Amino acid sequence: MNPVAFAFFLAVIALTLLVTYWASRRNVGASTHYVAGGQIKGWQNGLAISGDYLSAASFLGIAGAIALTGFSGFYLSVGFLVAYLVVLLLVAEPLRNLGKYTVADALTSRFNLRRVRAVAALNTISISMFYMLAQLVGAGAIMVLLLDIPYSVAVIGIGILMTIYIVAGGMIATTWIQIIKAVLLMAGTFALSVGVLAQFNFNPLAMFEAATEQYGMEAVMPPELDLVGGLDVISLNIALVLGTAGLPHILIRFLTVPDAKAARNSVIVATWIIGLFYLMTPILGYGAAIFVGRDAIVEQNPAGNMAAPQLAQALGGDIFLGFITAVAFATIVAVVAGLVIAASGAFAHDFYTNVIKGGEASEREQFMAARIAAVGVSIGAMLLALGAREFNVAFLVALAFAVAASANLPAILFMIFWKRFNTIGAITGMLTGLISSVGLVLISPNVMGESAIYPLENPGIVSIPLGFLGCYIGTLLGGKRDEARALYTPYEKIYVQANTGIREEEIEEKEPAPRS
Amino acid sequence: MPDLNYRIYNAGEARGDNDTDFKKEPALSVNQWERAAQTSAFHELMRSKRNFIIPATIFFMAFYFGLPTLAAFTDLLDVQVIGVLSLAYIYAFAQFAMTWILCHLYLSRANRWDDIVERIKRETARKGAESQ
Repeated sequence: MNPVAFAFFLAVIALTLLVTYWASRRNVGASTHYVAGGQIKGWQNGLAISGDYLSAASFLGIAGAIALTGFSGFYLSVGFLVAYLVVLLLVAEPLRNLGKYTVADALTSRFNLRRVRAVAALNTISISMFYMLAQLVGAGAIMVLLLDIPYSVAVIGIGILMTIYIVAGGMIATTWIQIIKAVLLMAGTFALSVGVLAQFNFNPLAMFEAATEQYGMEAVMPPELDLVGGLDVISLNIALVLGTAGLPHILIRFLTVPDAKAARNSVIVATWIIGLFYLMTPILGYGAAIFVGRDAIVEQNPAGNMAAPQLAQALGGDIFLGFITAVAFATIVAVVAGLVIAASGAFAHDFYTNVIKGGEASEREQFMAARIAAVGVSIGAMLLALGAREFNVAFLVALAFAVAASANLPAILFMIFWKRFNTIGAITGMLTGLISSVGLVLISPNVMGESAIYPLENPGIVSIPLGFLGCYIGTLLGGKRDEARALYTPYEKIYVQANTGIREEEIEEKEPAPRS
Repeated sequence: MPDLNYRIYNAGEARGDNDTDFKKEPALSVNQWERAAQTSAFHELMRSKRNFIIPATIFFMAFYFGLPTLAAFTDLLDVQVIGVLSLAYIYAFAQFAMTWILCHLYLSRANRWDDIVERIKRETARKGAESQ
């Protein structure tokens, strides 16, 4: 056990619990629980989005991937960043303008039907669960290694912390934990980068040079690939760039700000922070390859997940290692907190309040349901994580991105931009995307190994077009037979609202005029 | 001076219905949204949005997929340009610049769109008043 790491761990836990205590007195109802009452400022939300987004896969996974594979690992950094252009240009503002507590709220603002909401909620739960498993399995592995505690104790400990954060502090606590984490993660990554670059007189080119001296030119070049390998790279990149705009725990962050302008500003702040972070990932990766060595990284973890903490130890001994480990821990709890809110919203707000109770639940009941669902989601995720110890973290995150891009994004885009879109299209598209992305993974080399039916590891190149196609064909087939048509909100209203953020009362109460 | 507290609702109020009745009547509020969608300010907003968002999206998607496509299927990016740094890395770093530049171009346009939205509200209210 590393005593410094232990002290840093306790400090992070104490700080987050303090924030939770402060937030708990402000967490008074369903609206504060799900979206912090919509009162988060743009820059605060920008920091919180960064804290919500930069997960264990980014901090531990990419550093390891670049250390072991060189350029290939950097695809993840590029894709995770460019994805914010899709978010900013196409979905952030319309979603802020249409949504209330959950992604399903935005979809049902146009098609107010229980079955649309139920399928949208199912997608949110599936995506969030894959993502959460990745974080918990990763967190468990780090804590086993650094605190010398059993895996099950680590997972249960994180699960209990999560439950406390969410049940007591709701979205307000989550937001501030994510902000603290973003600051810690940037500080930790910056310190590691400075530590590496200082060895090269702050000349990054000398660092790249040192990497090629040790590992050959392949370390800084895209690998030679056959057709299947090339298609797999493309498939991964499609899911990366389109997935973010379908991730429920990121999308609900836009519901925590008061208006579209704040939503827009928060994406700008987030894009700068996230971009600067990813720009430092090659320094972490190559730094680890040079100062720790590939053999030592693989020995610790075959996927390279411990490369960043190992680099910290090589550069600054136990104290630096302790700090970076605590940063990794904060990284994971902040992401898991966002995921628990997203998944519990789908259970409590979508399934319980709207599908089962038909929207007829009192504020008190809704708040209660939200908290019970948060406990349920935390326990469920804990149990799954205990059984999923051997799963590869990067694979689970890539799966979450693929499902988000295939199942959520097509329906969201068509709902905002396509007048003819209907409920049958929405349901067909969402289910096609979900089933095809999960199904393709089940018959891929990731699961079936040598005997895989689908040759690629990444389902996106097939499942994302299928998601769009499902929406389109469902709409055409459903067309005139769609009996729910009478229940639609007229497209003019969605079209104007999504694009302007004008609220009902604003165009009814405007400007005095004489009665004629 | 007209009474500043006077609210224009729509034909519903002109018929003498009270506020609560109006709020239960969705068909009437739909008219307001149709009116808003028909204002010249809304047409201007959507034209301006389309003129930026569609070309920008096509551009960044093409620029983005250029990297994995060229890297995976050709040797074009394998040349060293600055020291040992390959063109693939330069291209990847350019994606960061592209993302930040496009974000700020979008921001400056979108801040102008906010003014158009204010005009849509005024025009809709005026249209609503004229129709009564």
